[in-house]
Amino acid sequence: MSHALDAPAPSVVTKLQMPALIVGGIGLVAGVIGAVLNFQAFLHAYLVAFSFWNGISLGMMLILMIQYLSGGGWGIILRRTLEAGTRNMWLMAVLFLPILAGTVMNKLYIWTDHAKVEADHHLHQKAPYLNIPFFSVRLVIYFIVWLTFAFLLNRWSLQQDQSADKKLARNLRNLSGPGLLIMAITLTFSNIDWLMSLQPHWFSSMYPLINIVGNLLAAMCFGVIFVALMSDHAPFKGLIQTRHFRDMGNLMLAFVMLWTYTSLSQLLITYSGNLPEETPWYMNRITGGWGYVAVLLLTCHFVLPFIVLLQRRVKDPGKPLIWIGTFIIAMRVVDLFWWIKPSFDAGQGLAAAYKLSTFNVHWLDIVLPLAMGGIWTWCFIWQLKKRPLVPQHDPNMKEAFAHGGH
Amino acid sequence: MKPKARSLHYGVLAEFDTPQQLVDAARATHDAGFRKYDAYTPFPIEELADAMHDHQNPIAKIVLLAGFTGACIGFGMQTFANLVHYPMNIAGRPNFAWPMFIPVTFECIVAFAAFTGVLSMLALNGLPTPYHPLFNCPNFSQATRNKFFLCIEATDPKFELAETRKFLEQLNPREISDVEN
Amino acid sequence: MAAQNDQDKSMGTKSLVPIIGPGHTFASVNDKISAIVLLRGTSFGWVVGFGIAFMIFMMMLMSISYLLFRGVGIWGINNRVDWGFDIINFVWWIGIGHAGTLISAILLLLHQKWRTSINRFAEAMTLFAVACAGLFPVLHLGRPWYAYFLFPYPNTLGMYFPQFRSPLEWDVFAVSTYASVSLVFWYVGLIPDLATLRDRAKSWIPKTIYGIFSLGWRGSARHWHRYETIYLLLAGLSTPLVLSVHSIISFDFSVSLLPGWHATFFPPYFVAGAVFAGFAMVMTLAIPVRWVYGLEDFITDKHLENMGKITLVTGNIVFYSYLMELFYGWYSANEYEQFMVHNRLFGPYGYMLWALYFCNGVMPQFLWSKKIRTNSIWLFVISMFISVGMWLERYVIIVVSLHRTFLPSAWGTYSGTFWDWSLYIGTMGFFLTLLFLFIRLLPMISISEMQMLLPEAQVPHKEEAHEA
Repeated sequence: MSHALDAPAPSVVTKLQMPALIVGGIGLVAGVIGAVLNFQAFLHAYLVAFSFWNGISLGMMLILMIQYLSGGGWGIILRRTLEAGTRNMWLMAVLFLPILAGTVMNKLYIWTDHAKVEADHHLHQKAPYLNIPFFSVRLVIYFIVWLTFAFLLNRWSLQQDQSADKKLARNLRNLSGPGLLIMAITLTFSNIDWLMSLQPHWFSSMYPLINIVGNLLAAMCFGVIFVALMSDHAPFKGLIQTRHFRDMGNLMLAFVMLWTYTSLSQLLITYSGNLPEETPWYMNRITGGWGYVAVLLLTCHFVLPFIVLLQRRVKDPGKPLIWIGTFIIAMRVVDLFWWIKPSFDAGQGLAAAYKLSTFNVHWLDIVLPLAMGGIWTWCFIWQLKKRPLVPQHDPNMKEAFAHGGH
Repeated sequence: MKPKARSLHYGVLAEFDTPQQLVDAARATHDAGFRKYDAYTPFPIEELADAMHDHQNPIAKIVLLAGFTGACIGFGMQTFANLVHYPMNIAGRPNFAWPMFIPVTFECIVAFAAFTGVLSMLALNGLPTPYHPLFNCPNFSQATRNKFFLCIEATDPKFELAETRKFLEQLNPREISDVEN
Repeated sequence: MAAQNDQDKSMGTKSLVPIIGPGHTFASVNDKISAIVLLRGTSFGWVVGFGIAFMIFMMMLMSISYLLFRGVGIWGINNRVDWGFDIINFVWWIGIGHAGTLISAILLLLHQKWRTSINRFAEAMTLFAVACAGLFPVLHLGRPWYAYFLFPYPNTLGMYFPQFRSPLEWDVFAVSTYASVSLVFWYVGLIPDLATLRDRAKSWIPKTIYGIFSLGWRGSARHWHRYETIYLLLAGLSTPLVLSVHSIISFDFSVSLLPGWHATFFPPYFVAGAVFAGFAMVMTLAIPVRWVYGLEDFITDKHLENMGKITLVTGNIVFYSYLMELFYGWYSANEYEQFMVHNRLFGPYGYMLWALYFCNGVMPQFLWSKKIRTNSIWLFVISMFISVGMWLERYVIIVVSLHRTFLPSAWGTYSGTFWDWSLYIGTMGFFLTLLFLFIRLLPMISISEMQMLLPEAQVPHKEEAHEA
């Protein structure tokens, strides 16, 4: 182990920090202007951006926990990148405030409108769950849980670098097992609260799972992009082997397939059920202009990445994963946009079946994901620079980087 | 009278104790210019394919092609049945209810790919081969236990019984035997 | 430097010990596993076990004969609850089979070496479980002799194709593909070991039989190369296949409109349940087998612990699904969904739901403790609870949803009859009979793969050769 393990983050990554800040800064200004001009349109776009970047932070946390349990070199290589992402959790907590404001001001969710809730039997029934105080309480719980996990995972991992204490590795594993369970529950309910309740008559138990898989996929792509960018520089040069990139590529492939599996299962079951609560959700998303988006998702969120990621010549060198990862991340934003945007101009309840959404894009829909991405990435690189890029004293270290064999 | 074309010998068989010796021997054999030779081991040795320069492997392509065929047949069959052969109104859905065709299409992909793949593996390996000249060598049964064999076959243009024997002896095998046809 | 080396060595052996006992060589692994089939002979214990299993199997045949004679009216199913034990047992058995494919395919793709010593056994279990599962829907047809109607074939009726838009038809494709691909996967894995048995066998009868089935395998490196490729590809194909099979079985329910059946998360929920049940069954069988045949060197505590971990993970996914079912039942604000939840919890079959929560929700939580995960008796007991729990789960899903549907005038009750139970228990005899025959006639651990685990089998990669 003669590699310079404590080499600083290479310039190929740090030089991205300034452009990210510029994009974030310009976007922030544009976002404020947009919010002043049309607060509702701002909120709609903001929810897409927030769901995406919050999803990346949470997906990184999930992958971090998974790799502590599964072992393997890919996890050790990705670990510091993922940790830097989870340290952005506080940022996401701050960035939630506009959504909370929109909720309290009755601008975002239909169930915040008392008159509508009283007039609608279904909404009235759901009121014990969908009301602003309980929503806020749950919100605080989610972020406390997520911030605690992020804090502990980062703290113990840093301590492990300094001391070879075996207890730390055990702590990390012991946290990750139950942690995944708690994460699954918090992610499910946060998804119900923030996205599913946009059309509160509709419910689908698969929806939170699709969202979790999508978060995992986007986070994996984001992590792999950064590791692949840095792979020619210390400390990764010579450490990353072909099989590590192959494992990461295979994980991306697995998540792409899982996304398709969950998404198509939901479609198939909804399609065959043909129930008035469920079907309008899809009618609003596969007819008219939204239908083209659905086809785009099927081909570019599944078919293309699937075919490309099947091939070893894409996975083994690692560098091509940067391009395919970026492509998948872009499609993930489109997927979230397709989920969220039609909710606003479609009818509610049974009206959703005949008052269909028409395809529409606001300029904020494009600006806000980029703006939040700029800020998020700036913070991410700032965090990435703080720690050595390869963790030390991991019990699986030797096995993970042994040459030859399997 | 035996037909002349058929050589009296199948080849020369050398026996080794460890996988490492066999891999070295295979590498030396290839470097010496032999092409018709084969190694026999109780378990797969990844490095051996490399030593023998055995990189061609069409199976993955065959499986891909078979899977694609399965997809076309599966989806085509259901489309034909529902649109042409026997159109039927089922719960008001369109006849071309493509989400409902996915499961059977998927099963067809897997079935076609798996069976074609296994059959092509057997065909390319020339299996089943109930009789093979190597089975006549008394010690060859250890090839499924703990011994590692290398056989240079008589069909190799460079094959010369005495010379080949001498060549194999340089590789320090445990034993050398001639394999009769 | 020397200390470093020592540490390396101890780490090397430490990581090996759990998967394969110390002191083994190529020959000892080979001899020990093949001897179970060839030299150990037919023990008294085996004969007794096989005899009991065979008698239970006979009970199944008797039950089927009477069923064919009288028709499905001898079962407990009625106009209201028209899916009963037949479908419960079908789903139960096929779920059990899924662990075999998971161990052999997914763990292979994940480079989990510990799978090696249990994969053959688990795959055999898959096949036998699928054989048992396949019986039920066919018998449930009522006129099983017309089962071939389910396949597309040219005929004089002018309808060449079945109804492709029914999930029951998807089942036909899924289960038949699953059964045949699993069989092929298993057989391909067996070929080199059959050749080993052919070469080890002393007398001519086994030599000939193993010889025929080994297809003349001689361990050629060129053959191994293609063999390894197709084995890996089969693993790659089996992984989505196993997910698809239980997903399609979940579609049998979720594609309908019945409260308690129509839920979009059914596919992953069923898959997790299947893996959960399957691992429990692998442990239920592997623990006694390793004890009887002295295979502690090959099926070590490490294996049991890893299986315990997977059981814990899938168990928690299943438990999550139970809780979410309750939540969505309420959140739907649909009176039928809400009634379904209430009826499940406090209806006439409520005790089954609470028993189910205990078996599948509470019992697996003990597996958080490493002490319990490495204790084979504890694992055995927990696995038994899980097997029962998974059967109850299907009972709750099928019977409880069917017996009280939308119209109270159409409500009814259900209970299994003697013929339901005799067929169900009979299939266990069928399963065990096949398993006993397998243990007696075929190597239950993959010999060639176990040999690959020995450190001597590793040949370091030569860089120059690669560049040349």
